[in-house]
Parts: sequence; structure tokens; C-alpha cells
Amino acid sequence: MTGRRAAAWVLAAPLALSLVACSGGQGAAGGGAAGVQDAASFTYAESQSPDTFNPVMQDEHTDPVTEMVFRGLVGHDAQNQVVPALATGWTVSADGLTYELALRDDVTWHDGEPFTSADVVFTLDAVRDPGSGAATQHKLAALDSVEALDDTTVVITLSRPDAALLDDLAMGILPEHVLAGEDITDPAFGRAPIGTGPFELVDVETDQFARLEANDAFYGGAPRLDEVIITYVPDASARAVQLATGEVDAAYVEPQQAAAVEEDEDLRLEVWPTADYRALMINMDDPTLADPRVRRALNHAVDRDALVDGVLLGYGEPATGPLRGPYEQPGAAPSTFDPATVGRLMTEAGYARGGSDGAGPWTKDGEPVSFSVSTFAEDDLRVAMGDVVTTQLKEQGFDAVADPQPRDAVTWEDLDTFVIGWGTPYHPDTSLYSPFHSSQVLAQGGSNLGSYVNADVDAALDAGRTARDEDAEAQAYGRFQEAIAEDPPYVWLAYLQALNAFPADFAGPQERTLEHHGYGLFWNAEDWRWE
Amino acid sequence: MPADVAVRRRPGALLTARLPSPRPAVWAAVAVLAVLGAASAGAPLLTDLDPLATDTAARSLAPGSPGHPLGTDTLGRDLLARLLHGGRTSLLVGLTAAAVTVVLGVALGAAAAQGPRWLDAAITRVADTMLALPLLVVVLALSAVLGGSLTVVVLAIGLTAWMPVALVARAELRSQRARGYVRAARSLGLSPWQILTRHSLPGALPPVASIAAFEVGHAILTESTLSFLGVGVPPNRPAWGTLLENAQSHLLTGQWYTVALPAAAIVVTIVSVNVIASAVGGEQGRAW
Repeated sequence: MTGRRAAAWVLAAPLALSLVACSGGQGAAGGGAAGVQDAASFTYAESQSPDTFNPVMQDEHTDPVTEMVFRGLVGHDAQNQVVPALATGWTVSADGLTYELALRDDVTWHDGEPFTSADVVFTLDAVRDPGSGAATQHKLAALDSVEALDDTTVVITLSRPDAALLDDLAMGILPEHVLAGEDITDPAFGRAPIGTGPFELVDVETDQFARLEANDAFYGGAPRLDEVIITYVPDASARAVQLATGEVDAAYVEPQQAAAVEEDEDLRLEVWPTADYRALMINMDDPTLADPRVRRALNHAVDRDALVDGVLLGYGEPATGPLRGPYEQPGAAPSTFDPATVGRLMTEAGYARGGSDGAGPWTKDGEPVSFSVSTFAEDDLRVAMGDVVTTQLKEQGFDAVADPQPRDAVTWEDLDTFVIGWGTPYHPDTSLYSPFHSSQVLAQGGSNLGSYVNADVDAALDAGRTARDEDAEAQAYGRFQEAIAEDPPYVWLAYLQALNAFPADFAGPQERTLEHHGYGLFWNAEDWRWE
Repeated sequence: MPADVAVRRRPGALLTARLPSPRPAVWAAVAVLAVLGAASAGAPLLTDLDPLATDTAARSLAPGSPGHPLGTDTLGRDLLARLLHGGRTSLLVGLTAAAVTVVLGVALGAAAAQGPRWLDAAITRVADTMLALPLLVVVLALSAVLGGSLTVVVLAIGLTAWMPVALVARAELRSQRARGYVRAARSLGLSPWQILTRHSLPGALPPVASIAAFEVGHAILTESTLSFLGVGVPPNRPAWGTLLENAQSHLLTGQWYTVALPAAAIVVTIVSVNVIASAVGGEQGRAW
């Protein structure tokens, strides 16, 4: 299976090359005509196609097509605050265990069937089903029951308070009349999805393009664009060429291409923040790295400004922790580049610089601090970050060796460190509990890939997800940040920014903090328009 | 000139013996290869810069910058150091893979020529079938499935390039059977193995040698292609192909040298090897 996937990827590579070679060729999307600007059609080039357009199979982030086709009970606004979507409002009981949601009565699915509370009950129950295989299942772990009181009222009962529940209910709702009795993860549905969003998917060619048409019956009003085409162009240079020739209207661009976009007066470069951070995950099974003083020293040995300038060409921000936005406590974990502190911490931990000139690696009992810096070899950005961090750590006396590995060859148990990416612009529980809580360690099949265990962190994360008000939440995540400052699970590196080129005469895209890979860009696509 | 009597008598001096009137191009090619080989082998002596060490204060320097005669890449790694160390990987893999190809090809060719009829049929059919396949795709699949390591690259190249060598070796060995000295050896009671190693194989080697020279070029090129596509040598080990791969996203950003230098190294090596291979092939003889 893994082999076949790898082979498929490999077979796609020459295709990408040939795309570069014949850049003047016809439009990848057929309909997305070059040259003549159809006023209501918009073509966007993206680097990667998701495996499926099924919202319950997209856990951490939602790709543009799924984002436009589906709507959840709630949505997020430009500040990433929860706002009504399919639900018009909700009440929460005093004990935080019962949510009563009122649903819109004017929503139809793309096939014309009415949307009702039965679809909500169906989706939540199907995702919760232990055998469903849905990637979003863990988000609904606190659900005890879901009931429809009538066509427009749903009551969700929890077994414990869940502060992240409303954020998690932004997950797209699936149509019961299409999927009843079927497997909700059915790949056929993932290729021909039916949702309630502003655009419906009419045509898709895997790894080539997806064509969406406006859903004029959208409950929020008919979209201003008639058609949106997403093309998938893995090669960044090919995307730049297609932008320049007008084959696509807009594209996700890399930092190296930002200058060219800014020089082009037909284009407008949008640089938005993301919650997507890169950090060096540390495997706690390594006895040397298990010492918190060594991990704190590593955090002071990295020059984040040089990393942002050198690798991201300035399109990023130094990261000193996994939280952004309202929950971030900037003072909690400063982690500045500071060789003197590195020296102090390592000396405290019993290490001395080896070598005759005292410039060798940190050594204790004749054993140097030696580890590999791994990452996915296919991800150029992570490889570059790993290379730079390795050099920086070497300069500070750590015997680090960069060792990128093909995605399918990565075995988490055997790694020393790994350039990893996490982060969410929504409720922090979504991207803190899985990687840092001791109940989620790798050995138990969880996503705590470094097997990090810290009782204070556990207590703070448990308090955060069951908090009943914002003060309690802020307090819990404050304690979490203090705990990881003392005992860092990762070496924090940088937050990425998302770069997109839009036509100068195109309006509508509104900045907000985006998800991984700059996903979440199309959150208000119904308002996008040519001017 | 070199093809004097003394040289001709030395049994190992096959290449020299095949070049009675070498053209200047051949000597130029030999010189280029010698320089490239020596520079690669002596890389640590020629530069004290670590080809993996980044320097965010010296990114994307043009050739001729102080301390970086060939410039630096986008992460500030010295391009001269990367080219020299990359040459070590590329030439090592290329030569090893070519050796594996030739040994495998000659062994299978000999087995087909000397072995039972069914073995001959099996080997030639497999060779014909494999010649009909788009081999880069096969190599890509092999490397992708087995993972990127030098051994895998060498094996993948050997396993997909042995056919021409085997077919030539088989044809040559079969034609040797009827030759006087082979018949004489047989009548003297030598075993088939003795005949093969002492008489048939040495007689069949000259044409095989010319193909082998081409295989070196083929192997270096295939290694570079694999590395360029990300399934060749481990991604963090400099090789000419990986340098190209790293540079491809800067194709349109004006840093032509990050692409041009490794590409030139590959082209110059392949052209030199092929010039030599043509010279060897053009002088095929039967005398040993």
C-alpha cells in the first residue's frame, strides 16, 4: 500500500516536470480559459490535492473545495471566533453538558433535498460510531447522545464538559439521504460530495483540477462568482509561470516568488498569518534529550530570526510556543537565542565542551550530545529548516546530523528529533491535547509522537478542555505555557505565513489567521468577486 | 605515442591497446575525467567548507564572492564544496553501478551462452522483455519501494541496465565456440569452466568493454535523474542530481548558477565518458 502510493507519487513527478516544460500549453482545467477574462469565473492554483473532499476525513485543516462545498453547524469569522452557520444559535446548560442548537429552516442540499436536524444527528452519530474510521472522531469523544427534538432543533448531551466542542462543530455536516446505510468514509462520496455550502462540485479530475459552480440557493445568498476552479500544480515554478501567463487567476506562492508577484502590477500579494508552526519534536526515549535542561538549552541555541530570514525570506514569525491568538502568553516561554544561557544550562546539566580547544561538542562521561534531525524528505521547507537548525545547533556544540527521510520510511519510535508542524487558529485543545497529553503517547497509538509526559501539562490540558468560562480557560492555558517553558517538549522554530497572489482587480478575500498549509483561505468565498 | 609494443604486450592494458591512434578529443575527455575524479576524490583537501553547513548570513551569493568562488545556494551552503562532495557521490555511484551492470550482464550472458538451452531462452526472453519496458519508470518504482540509499540506487541501475551487456556477451561467447583456439582447448581436455575463463571470455571482452564504457555514462545519468526526482541518494547527501533538485525551484529567480553548475558537471562527465566509449568501440578487434 505504502509502496504503491510512493510509486504513484513518483509517476506523477515526470508529469509535473512536463508541465513546466510546456508551460505555454492549454489550461489544466479545460474550462478555466486563459486570456479572455470571464467576469464570474475564478481559477486558483494550489500545490496539493487532498485525498478526499469529505469533511469528516479532514481532521486538522480543510481544503478549499471541502471548505466551499460544506457548511458546519457553526463557522468562524475573520477573528476565528465561532459564529452561526447551519445553526442559528445555541444554549448551553449550566453544567456545560447539554447544548441545544436551533437550526436554519431555509437550507437545501446541492441536490435540492431539504436540510433538517436528521442530517445533523446522522452525521454526528456516524462519525462517533467506533467503526466509522472518520478522522474527526476524536473531536466528538465527549458526546454522549445527539437527539433531534424537531426538524430544526438538536440537543447534544456530553459526558464531560468540552470547551472545544463549538469550534469542533464547524466540521461539515453530511447528507443523510445520500449516505444513510452507507459507509460515511466512502471514497465515491469523497469525489462527488453533496453539501450545503455556497459552491457545489460539478467536475473533478484527481490531482488535476476541481470545478465548482455557484449554489444559487445558498442560505447566505447567491455567491458573486459563477464558477471557481481549483487546479493542482505541485511545482511552484509551474504555478508562477501559470500566474504570469494568465492561465490561472490566483495561486498559492512560495516566498522565493513573492518579489516577482509584487512587481507584477496585475497581481496583488496577500500575506496572511497562519497558526501553522514548525518545531523540532524531541523523542523523550533518548536519555540525553530527556533532561529538561538540555531541551531548554536547545531552545536557546536556535536563532529563530536567522531561520525566518534565511528559510522563509522573512515570511514568518519566530515561534516560542504552540499557541497564538488570545491564549498566547508571550512572557511564558521567551526562548530567545542566547549562547550564554546554553552554556549555563549545559554546565548545570553536567556537560562540558569536548575537544582540545574546548570547541568540540557538549560531552558528559565521554559521551557527546549527538542526535539526528529528521523530517519528511518530500517537504522542501522542512528539509531546509532542518538543515539550518542542524548547522545552528552544531555551532552551539550539539552534534546534530540532518537526516530527512521519505514520508513512508519514517518510523516515529526510532527518531531522535523531527521537524514537525502543528497548530490551530481555533480552540487550543484541538492542537495541544493530542501532541502533549500523556494519555496520547505514541506507544498507545496517540499523536504524542515524542512520548512527552509531564503531570503539570496533563493537569493544565485537562483543566483547559473542561473549563466553563474564559477566565478558567486562560488560566489553564497559562499554566500549560509555564509548564512547557520549564520542560519544553519541542524546540520551537517559526510560524509560517501564507502567501497568495490575487488579481489586482479581485475583491473579497479577507485576512484571518489560517490553518495548516494556508488552508481556510476560502472561508468567505461567497463574497469574492471581480471588480 | 602510447600504443607502443611494451604496452600492447601487457595483458591488462585493454583500453590503451585499443587506441592505436587516439584523437585529441579522446585525450581531452580522459583529462577532463581525470580532473573531475581527482577533484572529487580530494574534495576534503580542496575545500575546508562543510557541504551541509548553512550560513543564513551568506545566502544566494553569486559566483566570485569572497570565500565562495562558485557562490552559495539559498541556504548559504558553499556551491564549490557541494559540487566537489556531490561529485564523490555521483561518480562513486556511477562507477559502482556500471561495474554491477557489467558483471551482472557478463555473468548472465555467459550463463545463456554456455548453459542449457532453456536457460538461454529464459535469459534472452527476459532481456528482450525488459528492453521493451520504459526503464526509468521501473527504476523509479524500485527506488520508491525500497527507499533511497546508495545501495538501492546501485542495485536499481544494475537490475535495469544489464540487458545490452548480456546480449552482447552472449553473442560474442557463442561465436567463440567455433574458433580454433577454443576447439583446441576443448580437445586438450579443458573443462567448460576453464575454456570460458581462459579463452572464450577474454576473447569476448573488447566489445563488452565498449558497451561497459557507455554504461558508466548511463549509470551516472540515471543516478542524477533519480536524485533529481527525489528517490535517489539520501536527500541530505550532496550529489549532482540532488543539487539540481534543490535548485529547480529557483529556475525563474535569476540564480542560474545553482542550476547551471551541477548540470554542467553532469553533461561534461557524460560527454567525456561517451567520447572514450566511442573510441574504444570504434577499434573493436579480435586480437588479444
